[in-house]
Formats: sequence, structure tokens, C-alpha cells
Amino acid sequence: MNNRSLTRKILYILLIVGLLLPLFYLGRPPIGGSGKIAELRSRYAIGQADLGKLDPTSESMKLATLGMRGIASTILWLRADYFKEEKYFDRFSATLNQIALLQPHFISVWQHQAHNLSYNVSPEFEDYRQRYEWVKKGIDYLVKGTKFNTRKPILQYELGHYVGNKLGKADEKLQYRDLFRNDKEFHKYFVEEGLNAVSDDSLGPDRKPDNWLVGKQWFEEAYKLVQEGIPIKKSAHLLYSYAPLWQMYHGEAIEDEGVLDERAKFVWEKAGREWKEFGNRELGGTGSVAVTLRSLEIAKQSLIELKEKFAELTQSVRDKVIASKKTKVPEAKLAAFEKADADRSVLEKMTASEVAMAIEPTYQELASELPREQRVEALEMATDLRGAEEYYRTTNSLRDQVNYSYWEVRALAEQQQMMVDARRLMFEANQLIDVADIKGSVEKFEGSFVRWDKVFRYYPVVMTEDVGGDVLKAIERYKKLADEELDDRFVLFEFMKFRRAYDADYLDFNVEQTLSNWKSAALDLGTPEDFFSTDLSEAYRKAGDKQTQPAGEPSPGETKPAEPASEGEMPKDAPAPSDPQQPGDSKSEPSKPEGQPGKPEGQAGKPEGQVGGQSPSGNRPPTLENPGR
Amino acid sequence: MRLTPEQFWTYSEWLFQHNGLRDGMILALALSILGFLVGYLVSVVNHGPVEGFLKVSQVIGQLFSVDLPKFSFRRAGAIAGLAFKESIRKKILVLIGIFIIAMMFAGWYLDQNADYPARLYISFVLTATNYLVIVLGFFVSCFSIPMDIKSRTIYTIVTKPVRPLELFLGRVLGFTAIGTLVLLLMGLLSYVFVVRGLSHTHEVDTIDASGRIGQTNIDNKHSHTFTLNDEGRGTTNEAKGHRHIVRKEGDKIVVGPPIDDLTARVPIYAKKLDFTGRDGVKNEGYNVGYMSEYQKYIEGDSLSMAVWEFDGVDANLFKDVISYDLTISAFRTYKGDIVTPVGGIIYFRSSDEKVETERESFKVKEFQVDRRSIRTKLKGFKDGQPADLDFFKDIAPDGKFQVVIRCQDRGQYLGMAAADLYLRPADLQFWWNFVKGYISIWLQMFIVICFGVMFSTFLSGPVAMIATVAAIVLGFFGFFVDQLQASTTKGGGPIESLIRVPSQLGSQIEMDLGSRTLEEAIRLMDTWILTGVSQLKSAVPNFDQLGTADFVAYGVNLFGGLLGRHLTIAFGYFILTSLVSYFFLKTREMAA
Repeated sequence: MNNRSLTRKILYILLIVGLLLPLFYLGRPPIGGSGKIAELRSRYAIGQADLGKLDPTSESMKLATLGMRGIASTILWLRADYFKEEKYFDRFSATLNQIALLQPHFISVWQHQAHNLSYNVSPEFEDYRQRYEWVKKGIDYLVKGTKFNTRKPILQYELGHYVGNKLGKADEKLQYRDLFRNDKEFHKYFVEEGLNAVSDDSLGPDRKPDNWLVGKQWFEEAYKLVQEGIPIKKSAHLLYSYAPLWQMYHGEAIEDEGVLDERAKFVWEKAGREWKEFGNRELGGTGSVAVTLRSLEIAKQSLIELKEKFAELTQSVRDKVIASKKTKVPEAKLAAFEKADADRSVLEKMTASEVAMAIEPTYQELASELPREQRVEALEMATDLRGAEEYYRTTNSLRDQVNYSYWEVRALAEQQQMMVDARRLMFEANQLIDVADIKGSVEKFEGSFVRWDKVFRYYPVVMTEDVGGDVLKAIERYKKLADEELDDRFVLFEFMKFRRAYDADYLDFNVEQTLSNWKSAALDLGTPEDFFSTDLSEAYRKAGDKQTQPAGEPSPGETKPAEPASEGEMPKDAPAPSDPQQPGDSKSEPSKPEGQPGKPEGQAGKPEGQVGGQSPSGNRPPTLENPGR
Repeated sequence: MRLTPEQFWTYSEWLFQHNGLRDGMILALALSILGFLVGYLVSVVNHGPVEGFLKVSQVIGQLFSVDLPKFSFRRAGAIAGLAFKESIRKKILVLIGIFIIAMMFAGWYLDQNADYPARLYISFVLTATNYLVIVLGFFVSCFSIPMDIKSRTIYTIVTKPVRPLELFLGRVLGFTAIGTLVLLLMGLLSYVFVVRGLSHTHEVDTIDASGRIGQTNIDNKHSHTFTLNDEGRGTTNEAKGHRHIVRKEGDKIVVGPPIDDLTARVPIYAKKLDFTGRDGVKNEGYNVGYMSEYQKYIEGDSLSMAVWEFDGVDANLFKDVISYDLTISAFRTYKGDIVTPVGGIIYFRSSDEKVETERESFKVKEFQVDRRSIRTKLKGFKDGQPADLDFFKDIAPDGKFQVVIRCQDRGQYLGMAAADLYLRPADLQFWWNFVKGYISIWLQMFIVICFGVMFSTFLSGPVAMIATVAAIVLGFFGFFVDQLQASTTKGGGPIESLIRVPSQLGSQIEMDLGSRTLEEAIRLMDTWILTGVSQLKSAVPNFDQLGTADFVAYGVNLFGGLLGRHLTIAFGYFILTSLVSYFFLKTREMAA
């Protein structure tokens, strides 16, 4: 008996030792082919130290749960929900910190709860300063998350949104932005956490950190990680669009706050440059096609050339293929197709276009019909054509998704003195309303509208989106102040009609057609005469030091040719329009009438330009009723 | 802090007006009858129906005729002393070491950026202490008697003779004594931790040209702005739940230590709060869409108002000024003027509404205590005519008056609960309120010890511990069982949960097992189980309600009435557990 017991014990010990050997071999550091586990850990960067910082608080708390981390986390989540419902926000925040310690590598915890703090809890507070503090708590929560998860660029990406969007687009954006720029403690915190929120790149025109620019820096942190090869579940074209967009929103924000001088122009110039760089970046599209957004015209041209070549090659077989395909079309449909367009009913028109699509030969079909000696070349060309079409389609689609054309033109337009002047006058008009100077406000509005008219002629796409909306609101305010109905003699009458139709249904065919024709008209106008200096950064810094800059003065230095753009822009060599309104007009005293809407042409106090419905060149701009010219 | 009206009843109100005595007597009677029936059934099993009845009657008879009259405090005290020494030998004082370690590393876990660090610190120390002493309670109490039975030392004790009641009381007293010692030490350490942790000062960082308005430096992750009066004295603004007194000493401006963070407000609450709707008709107040219905809302720029009714307010508590606090909230239906808070008006009036003070405007300070006051001699209106008023003669001659609040801003709402407006005659010392908080913890520990000793009289040590833990868990989380029963918490009962968890079916999704009969059967079984647990829960103390950490953390004086109520409840459980323990010790065989 004893021997059997002893034998068993010896056997067990031998088995234990035997099992220990492979464990030892696998678990040791990676030396001489051993240490497989350590090697795998290192290769896939899944070691604790690879994920992020090692926090003793978090580790000890996890140990203290004695294996019941899941239960503890669940209870904490339930408690957090309860505290939030009952508005025990201080306890809610404390509970979130505990949850984060227990689940530091579960990204959704950081994302969800940061959103909770900044977007759900903050509006519960009456005082905007308290709301700001809670938005900051959400941001702080995400920043902590980046320390625990150094290889998760999604957190930096979200930080870019929070710092930029939440502070800069909220209803209380003016207050938030002001609090942020004066929040030295928060800037210092960012610096301590590795983001230089006080570098030149983050400073606004008042030389204090601007939330949009700091947000942009967070995006750039995310880009660095992505470029190191760490994946992020965001489409490349959207991901990389945010940094330049934030630069543009910074421009919008400072203009809303009254910075309407070279500093604003510089910001937009930089935005335009960055948008162009973004346009030149290679982006992964759908499938495996990598595109650059600025290559649309080239792609289009290339596609047209390929199509022409292919058409030339396959001309001889095209009719044959079409005839063959027609035999498969039902007679009734074919009959509708073969009728003249004028004779077709509505249903027959639809049928005819269906038939046209059905009988249109594919590249493959045409290539297959060719003689053997031409077939290979045709098939290769067909493959190239499909690739080119896909490239064009993808590029177009991605451009639409980021509204590339609009922002390209917008950045250019915002650099023009006429637009800065238009904005400045509108801003001053609004300020005069606050001090009940109705007359002064009306005059400012009128001066502003004349300039807006010019801006819209040169850059019609700017009529859409926020800019046009703001101008329309200004017109409504002006109407109330001037207490008169605006008829077709009003300088922005056509814009007003267009914008109202656009607001009602921007996808309406007539609206699109009108805009398209404004763009064509703009091409005929040529280059605006008041492009300004390239030495903007110098002007920017000087203006920032002085805090104020005489408004409306053109910058010194040589003119700069316009950047070529895909649409809505003027060719380089186009002559300047014969516009009586000269750049020097911006020097005119604001109190003098800049044009009086409602009065017949020629009765304006100064020859600032015709304020009726006529363009400077004498051509009537297109209207909704008469979109064609 | 959420206060329900029952929390500010006085002791006599709870006992007599709100049926505390009646409910207690009914419970005692019900438990006595139940206890008798259970005892009789057990006895019937062992001895048959007639003899069983005789045995039970004998035990009850002996309690009143022998054990109670011959009860010896000396013997009970001796048992208590032994229990005390036994606990020391079991190294129970190690708990203090654990507590000290927790204090040392508390800083890692406490949020340094909390808006109200005082609340966080106080909640932490009270909660940590609470859990530790409860653990102490059941560890010391559950094993003592079973180990004596196992080691047969119980024979030596009972043959002294030591009566069952003395045995029970001695153990309870002894363990309570050691628990009290541990609690005293923890309380001292906690107090020092809280006071030291919150203590800080500031230096003046910037000051304007007039030398009156300035800003302090940043310390403890915050700074203050301050304003000085002509005499060079003033206070800072409130930040992180406190302020500082600022005074000019010569050329230097000195910022004092923090005030208002460690307080014990002695509120006088209204008897009731009524609401009037936008049409001037009484209603329940509006719900603006929040899940929590603690606060109700009044609409702005309408006839909607909230009326607090005070009664029995002693004029001697207020000399020249009546101080009162507001903690109301605001709800905006549109943002409007972002910078300016939502405004309201407040005024005081007599119960017959004939005399009222002038209306005073205020702006809402959400999630803060808005300290306000009115003078006792003030201007107002009598029967619609302007008049000079003496508050306690004209408005509240018998201590009865009303406070009315309306919201001024159209389209906005003000939210309030009964406890969101109170008179504040004086503040007590924080340390005394802290002590009262520890008394509440002591009561919980005492109840746990009573239960532990009770279970140990008829269960083995580990089983007694499990039973005690079950009672504690039911006591803390019993509300969850109620929510499950009332279906306010989704997910079903225990059997349904056993199915949902492995099948990963979320709580919001309807269970679908393919058989309606099966699903109904599961729900029925769960209902029985939950009902049974709910009934059991009624028999154990509600530890959640016995907890008073919030009072101390939020700086509200722990009312004598509330503490008295808890003392009465604890005493009631002591009597209950004594009787049960007596019965079991009297009737069980002491042989292992």
C-alpha cells in the first residue's frame, strides 16, 4: 500500500517537472529560438507595456477584485448610470475613473464615457462656465485614455473633435472659445501630456491658443500614429480632411469674432495650402484604388482620351454589336426606343432610356467582336478603361464626401480683400445694431452687400453653405432696419432668390442649374484684381502684435497669380473685368453710402458699382426663371 | 444631496405621527407569532404535538420566570471580557493596519479634479470604514460560539452557570467593544486624513489697480478670485466647494484657510412643498423629461409657482437676519441668453397670504448652495398696501409662513424638491457631525454582530458566516430585489438570468425560448423566488437607509430624530436576535 502511494507521488512529481520544462522553454525571454510567447508578444505588441503606461493603481485595483473584475466593472457601470440619472455628477465622474482603472484597455470605455461627460453631462449645468468644466473633464478623460493606449489613434482623433468641434461649434462657442484661450492651466496640462498647445501652430491671432488649432494638433498626433502603421477604423479621405478643415473653421471663427484683416487672410491662405496638400495626398479609395483628390481633371482627361481611342478602335464593330443586342429587346420597348424623342410619352421616354442602356455595348463585348489581331489590344484597352472609370468615379465620390471643391474655392475667396471687406462691413453693421445706430447699420449693410455681390459673381459656390446663409440673414435684418421691401433693384436680389430656393430644396434641378450657370459666368469674369501679397506671415505677426489693423487696406507687395482650380475659378490670363469698383474703394470711409439699393442705377452717392441687378460688365446674372445665357 | 421628507421627521413625529411605534409593534407581534409557530413546529417534530407545545411554553415561561430575573450583568461582563480578549488574540486589530494602508494610497484613487473634494474624501473614509467594520463584525461574531461548541469549552461556560441570554449578550458586548475600539481609531485617522487632505492656502497672484479685486495662485488644482471691501476684508468666490476669507494686513493681502467645505448645516425644512401650474391651479409640478422625479419644475413667466410651508419656526433662532439656502436647478427649453442664468423671484408670505415681503430677484446657482438671507425687519405689503414689517410678528406670528418661488424667464423652468429650500439658523461643528456619522456606522456594525452571534447559536461557523453575509447583502442591495419585482429593472429573476447570461441575451430583449409555457413557468418561479427573497429582506435591516455618509459628506447636520430612529431600529434588532438566540441556546443539544 505504502509503496503504491509513494509510487504515485513520485509519478506526479515527475509529471509536474515534465510539464514545467516546456513551460519554461516557452515562457523564457526570446534567446536562441526559445521564448516563443515573449516573441509573439513582442511581434504583435500585445504586452502590457506595449499597450500603454503601466499604472500601479490600475494593476492593484485589478488584483484587488480577486478575479471578479467583470462583476466589479458591471456594478460600477450600473452605479455610474444611476448617478448620472440622479444627477450626482461628482460621484458619476469618480465612478468613471474607477471604471477606467479596471478596464484601461477597453477603448469603448474611454470613448463612451468621455462623450457622456462632454456631451451629456455638461448641458445639465445652467452656468456656461460649469458646462465648460465638464467638457474639459471629457477631454481630460480621453487624454488619460491615450496614456493607457498609446497605439490607438482613435483616441487622438476623438480629441481633435472634442477640442475643435465641441468647443468651437456649440451654441456657446463664443464663451467656450474665450474660456479656452484664457485657460492657462488647461494649456499647461496639454503640454504636460505631450501636446504643445502653446506652440506657434496653436496660437490664434491674439497669440493665445485657439481651440481649433489645438484640435488640429490632436489630429496630427493621430496621423503620426497611422503613418507608423497603426490602423484606425476611419476612411483615409475623411481622416486626413479634418486637419485642414479645422484650420478653415479657425478662420471662420476668428472672422465671426471680428478679426477681419490680414490675419484672417493669412489663416485662409494657410488653410488653402493645407487643403491643396490634402488634395495631393494619396488616399485609399474603395477596393484597392488609391486616388488623389486633385487629380480629377487629369483623370477625366485621361478617361476621355482612352474612350476616344477605344471608340476609334472598335468603331467598325459597334453597330454590329448594338444590332445583336437589339434582337434581345422586346419589340414594344424597341418601338418606344426607335420613336423620335418628341413623339414619346413619358413612359416611352423612360423605356427608351432603359433600352439605350441595355443595348449600349460593354467594352468587353466590343473587344470580343474585333478580329484576332486587334482583340488583345482592345482587351487591354478595355481593362485600362475600366480602371480609369473606377479611378474617376472614386475620386469624384471622395471629393463629394469631403466637399473638396467647395472648400477649395472658399479658401481662395476668403483670401480676397473684397470678401474680407464684405465681412467686415457686415460685422460692423451688426455691432451698430447693438448700439441702436440704425442709419449707420443700414449704410454698412449696403456697403457689405455690394461687395458680397462681387464675391458671389467670382465665387458662386460660396453662396451655398454657411456663408450664403449668413448673408441671407443679414439681408433679413437689413430689410427690417430699412423697413422696405427688396425688389429686383436690390444688388443681391438674385442671390436672395437663389438662396431661398436652395434652402427649400438644394437638390432641385433648377437650383443646380442656376448655380452651374453662375459658375460659368464666373469663368468669364477673369481674375479678381486684388490678389494680395505672399508675405502674409509677416503681416500676420505684425498685425497680431498690434492687435488691430486698419481694415480694408490692401497689403503691400506684388500680386500673386491665382491657383488653378477645378471649378469656379478664373483662368490665369483672363482680363480683369471693367468694374468701376476698384481695390481702393475699400479705403472709402465707412460712413459714406456705398450704394443704395432700391434706387435706380447711377444715383448712388459714389461710383462704387452699380447696385441694381446688373453685373459690372453689363451682363444680367442668370436667374432661376432664366437660367440659360 | 437627496433628502426625502421622512428623513427630516423628528423622533416623536416618526414614532407617533408616522406610525413608527405602531409598525414596530406590529412587526414584533408578527415575528413573535412566527417565531412561536416555527419553534412549535420544530418541537412537534422532536417531541410530538402535545409535548412539543409544552416544551415551547416551558422555554417561554423560563425566560420570564428564571432567565430574566436571574440575569447577571457581572457574568455577562465576564463573557464580554473574554470575547474581547479572544478577538485581540485573533489579531483583529490588523484591520487598522489595512485601513492605514488604504489611507496612504487613497490619493491614487481619489479624483484630484473633483468639483467637491470634501465630499469625495469624506465619502471615501466613511465608506471604507463602514465596509471594514462590517467585515470585522461578521468575522469575529460568526465563529466564536461554534468554536466553543467544537472545543467543548461551552460546557464549562454553561455549567458556571451562564444563562443563554448572558452568553449572547456577553458575546455581543465583547465584540461590540472591540469593534468600537477599532472604529474609534479609524475615526481619528479618518478625521486627520480629511482635514489634512483638504487643508491648503493660496497666495495672491494678481491684483487690479484699485487693490481690491484679484486672483489667487493655483493650489490643489484651483484658484479663486476675490474682492475686498473698504475695510480690506472680503472673501473669495466659491470653487471646489469652499471659499477663503481674505484680509489686508498692512501692505500684504492674506488668504485664510478654506471655509464652508467642512460644515454641518442645521437646516429647518418646510413641512411640505406645493406646486401651482401655469393656469394657477394646484398640480404636482411639471416633469421636464428627466427619469429622476426627485425635482419637479415650475414654468417661467406664468402663474406657475412653488410654495414651501413652514411651521413651528422658533423666532429665537433668528435675531436680525433669517438665513436660508437654495439648491434649485434650471431647465431651458431654448438656450436664450447663454451668459445670464435663469432668473426667479422669491418672497415670503403669511399662511393666510395677506402679508408678504417684497419680491426679490435671484439667478439660479445650480449644483451649489445659494446662501441668501432677509432681514427680520423689512419692507413688504399688508393687504396689498406697502408696509414696514416685522417678520415674526406680521408674517409668522406662530412660526408658520410660506415661501414662494416663481420663474421669471419665459420658456424656462426652475426645478425644486422639498429639501431644496431650508432655513439655516446656525451651523454646528463639523467634527460632531463626523462623530454622528461614525455612530451610524457603529449601529450597522452592532446589528451585524447581533446577527452573526444569533446565526452562530444554531449554525456552524462557516454557515453562520454565509448567513450573515446574506443578511448584509440583502440589507445593502434589497432595493434591487424590489426593482426586479416591480420590473423597473429589466432582465428577469434568477432563473431567467441563468438562461440569459450563457445565451448572451441582453436584458432589454424579450426572452424567446420557443415555448410560451416554458417562459411563463420560468417567470412564475422567478416571481415566487423574488417574493420569498423580498419577504426575507423585510426581516433584515435596510443598511442602505441606515447609511448616513451623505449627510456628513454634503455638510448637513445628522438630525437627532434620524439618529434616534436608527438607534431604535438597532435596539429592535438586538431584542429580536436576543430572543432567537435564547431560544436556540435553550433548546439545542450542546453535544457536538
